[in-house]
Amino acid sequence: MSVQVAKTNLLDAVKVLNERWERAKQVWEDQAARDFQTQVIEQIEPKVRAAIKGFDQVGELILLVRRECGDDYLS
Amino acid sequence: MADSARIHSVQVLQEVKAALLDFVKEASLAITSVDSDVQRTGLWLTTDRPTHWKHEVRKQEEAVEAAKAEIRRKELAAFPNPADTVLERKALKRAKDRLEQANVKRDRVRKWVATWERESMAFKGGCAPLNEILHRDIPQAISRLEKMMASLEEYFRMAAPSTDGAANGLNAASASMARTQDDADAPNDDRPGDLRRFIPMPEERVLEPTIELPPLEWNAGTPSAEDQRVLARLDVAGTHPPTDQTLAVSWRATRLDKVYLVRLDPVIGGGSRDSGWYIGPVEDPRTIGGTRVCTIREVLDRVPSLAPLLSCNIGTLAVLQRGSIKNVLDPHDRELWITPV
Repeated sequence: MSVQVAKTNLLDAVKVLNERWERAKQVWEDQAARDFQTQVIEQIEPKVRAAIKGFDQVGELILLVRRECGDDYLS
Repeated sequence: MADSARIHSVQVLQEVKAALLDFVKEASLAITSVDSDVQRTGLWLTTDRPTHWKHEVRKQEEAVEAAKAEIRRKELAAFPNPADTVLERKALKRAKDRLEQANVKRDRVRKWVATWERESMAFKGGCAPLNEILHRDIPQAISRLEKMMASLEEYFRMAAPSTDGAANGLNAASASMARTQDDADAPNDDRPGDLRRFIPMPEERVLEPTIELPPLEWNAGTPSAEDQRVLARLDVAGTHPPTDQTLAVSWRATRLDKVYLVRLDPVIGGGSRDSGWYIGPVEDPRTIGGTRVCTIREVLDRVPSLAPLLSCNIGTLAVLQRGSIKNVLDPHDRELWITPV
């Protein structure tokens, strides 16, 4: 799996999680649900964003390293 | 109705759990995949590349030497005439270019080998908060959900409609109490005191839920200010119990517009916070649909104007219909209520 694919999959995973949570919230709407949202669900996306940033950075580095240290000559 | 609420609630918790587990699986796979790429790149840099470019530098050095030798050979062969070495000099230049590139690449490999570990650590550091969520916080949250599901199952098992006392864990005598009543004994509006026969047994009135339930449903209305004033002047008027004490309300009664409220001697012991109050349905009072135990505070938050009713003394029974008080009986079933004009 390439970094780009992993990034897409991770973003999809958090999107699906949020969609499923939104559906659950329509049925589960007491204080416990609100606490669960604050303490668990809302904690996830910022961490995913940070990880995605890391994916992007390391993905660019891998491409750079492959280019700079690869077999190819300019001529 | 309690059954459908039960299935609904437990199902939704199961769905949240499944959603979290799926997320953990997908996110872990994504992180592992990128981490593998980082590790593979590191391995390639540290083991394959140095050898490769060392070999390439040597190869290009040899190519340069070979190109130079070819030029010398042609010059010697043509001596004393000038030799035509245009092609050989082009080959020499290309060999030198490639040697220079090989040297540059060997230096870059050295540079990346020195820094890759740091980049790899930076990547891991960036993913650490997500990893903590995936491998610590979410498992804890799932454990929390499982406890909630177990509590909810247990609560609804205990508070299920009393159609089978043995099966739902309630005292068989209490569960069957209402069932054994003959329809002929059913109270009517003329004999509200008969409602006392349908009060659930003490264990059903004190079993507090271990999780938070949805806000209390209430359809019997709120007593008017005039009714409250009249109530406060009755002989049964007293002080309402501390708001952290509990009362039991029939699940079915929460959905009906006509209910009775009765204050009994509080159940004492076993951690009970019972205030003695029970709220049940007037119509078909034997079918209570289980009991919900909640604090006086919860009830007053939902229906503040019940405060004067809840202040009545032990033994009082009142009937409330759509916010209108219909009866107030003293402990001897004497009617005290005269509807205010």
